[in-house]
Amino acid sequence: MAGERILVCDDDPQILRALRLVLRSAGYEVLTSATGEDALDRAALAGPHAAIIDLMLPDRPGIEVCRELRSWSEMPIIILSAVNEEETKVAALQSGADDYVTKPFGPGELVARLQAILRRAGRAETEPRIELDGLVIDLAAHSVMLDGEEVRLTPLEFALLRVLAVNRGLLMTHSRLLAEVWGAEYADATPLLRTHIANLRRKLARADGERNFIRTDSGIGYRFAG
Amino acid sequence: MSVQSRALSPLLLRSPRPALTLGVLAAAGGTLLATLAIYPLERLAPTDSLGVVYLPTVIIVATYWGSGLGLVTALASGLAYNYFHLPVVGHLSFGDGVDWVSLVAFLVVAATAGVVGSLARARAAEAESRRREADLATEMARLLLGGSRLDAALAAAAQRLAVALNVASAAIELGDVGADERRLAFPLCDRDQIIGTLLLPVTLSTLDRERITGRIVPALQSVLAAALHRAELQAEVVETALLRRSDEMKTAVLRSVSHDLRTPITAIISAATALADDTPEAAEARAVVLEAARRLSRLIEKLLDLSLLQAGTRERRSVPYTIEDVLHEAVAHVRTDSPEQSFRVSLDEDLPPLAGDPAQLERAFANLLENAARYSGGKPVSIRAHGAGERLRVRIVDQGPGIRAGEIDRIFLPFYRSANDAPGHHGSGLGLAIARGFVELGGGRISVESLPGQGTSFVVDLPLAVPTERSVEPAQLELALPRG
Repeated sequence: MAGERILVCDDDPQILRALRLVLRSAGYEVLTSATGEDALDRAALAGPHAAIIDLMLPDRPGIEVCRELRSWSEMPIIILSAVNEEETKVAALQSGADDYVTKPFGPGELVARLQAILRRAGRAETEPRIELDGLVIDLAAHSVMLDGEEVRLTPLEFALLRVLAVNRGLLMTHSRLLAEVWGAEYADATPLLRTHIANLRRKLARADGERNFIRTDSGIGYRFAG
Repeated sequence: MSVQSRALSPLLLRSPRPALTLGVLAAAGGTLLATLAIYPLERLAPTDSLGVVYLPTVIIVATYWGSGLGLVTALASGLAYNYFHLPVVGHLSFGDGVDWVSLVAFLVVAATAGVVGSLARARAAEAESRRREADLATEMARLLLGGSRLDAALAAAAQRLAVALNVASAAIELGDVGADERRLAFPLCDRDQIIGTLLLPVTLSTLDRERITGRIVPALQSVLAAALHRAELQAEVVETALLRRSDEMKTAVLRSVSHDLRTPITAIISAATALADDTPEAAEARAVVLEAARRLSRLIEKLLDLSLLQAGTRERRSVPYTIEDVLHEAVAHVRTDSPEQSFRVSLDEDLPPLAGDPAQLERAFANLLENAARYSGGKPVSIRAHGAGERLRVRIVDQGPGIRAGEIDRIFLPFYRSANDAPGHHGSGLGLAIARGFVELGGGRISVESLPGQGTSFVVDLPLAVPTERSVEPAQLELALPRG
């Protein structure tokens, strides 16, 4: 898995140094650039497997770099942002980013996101079975077990859980979930999605109510813990 | 005006009559010409029937110069006809019926033509005056609505009005201005409210006054009302633009400060995480750096939230969300000193959706939970949400020492810390201020109930989302598309 080349673009030299340390110790090869132009050049020449791009760059907005990169490459992109605003996140996702991480973040969080998007990028066709912290989802048999007990889900709830679990760790926007489970014409029906997420959460809750498999990115989407 | 009527316009009756001298000359000349013209005509027709030759002169004079000169012309024509042409020629004789008939006919024609002429002239005068008033109203509208500054436009309009009314001075002032010894005041109203006053010299004739109240004031007041409305809208636009610019600046500064504060903290935390901890000293040093950096980071987040609240930018996000999402995330994000701290969330089924900024509310609840956990002494904190009429109520209850009555009013103030706080307590004194700020920004209310020794309960009331046409009924949709 590890050994992939990751391009990191941030104008702050300390962030570059720190991320180089963190990503190297996680087993990745790291390329760094301090400007958007340089990042685009390196992306073209070195062919990284994924890119981590800061939103505020000295020469051009990170969103623009992301859009340009996306115009010719399918590589996973994570946006780094120091602004915790929904509009900014939505704009980043619309420009082609796969996920974002808001500063200050723990390096564990960044590495987990990176692993999740790389896993998706290189994923084999289908996994028949997903096991996570006592939850077993058998995709072939359409069954779900939580701590050895069967969880009864409606077909829609199962479809929703499958999409979330297959993409575990990844941000799934409202519209993407709706399109994948209900169909593209339902991409705006967020209230519908919320109702089903609430039901799913209730059914996947343990007696102590501690484990929360489905995390919310307020106003943007959900991600399955994993 | 059509081409035809423009061609005829020199012949049209105008309200002022042509000069009387011209009329007398026309009458004399016409009568003389008619008298001379009859001589050659006598060979073609009987003299008795040639009286008609005088009629054009009589009609023209009566029409253009009025019945008076018309009657004089008729009399002169009758006498000339009688003297020069009717038997006995060279004498005035009224023995014959023809003599009288011709004279009376001339007089009747003159009187009739005079009356018709006067009527036509009066109508022309009326039309002319209407046209001038319409022009005046158009001009007022152009001046008052076209200009950029209302006071300058009012002065120009008043000047134009003075010229039109032929008075020395006129003024249009805003508001209700009383008359004085030199000026008459005509109030200009809009929906029963006096919005301005037209001031004109007292020397104005009664006829002019009537014309002003009847025709000019109604037109002027509606134009003035429109001009005032426009000025108001313009002022609003300017104010909105200024506020927006100031909001944009505040947002830009906050963003840049956020970036500058969060970036180095991120670098510290990331680098410290990557530190080797192969000796106990190194592990200890790494733990100290990480803990201190995380504390600094939490404080920065709180200061940034507080700055955002105090910057008071007006643009609010409003999206539909559920309290369930917000509370789950708040619980997941809350940082507590004790890892065993538990939160018990109980939500009523079918809670109504809310509208607002869920991210801000999440921070409000995370701060409330952090506060509750800090004082709960490791006992569970309970979170309950239920509908309460037009609002949704969330109650956060801890089993801590409670808040003294004297302190309750102050706990929401920024940087306030309870005197009971234990030494080494790491609260910033900002959490509750931020919680209240974000709750109130979203139209909600926060209150606190506490009994010393028995715990504290924070109550957050949130307004429900107003249902819109776009909102989709989940049950119906599911029925419509049973797929998956």
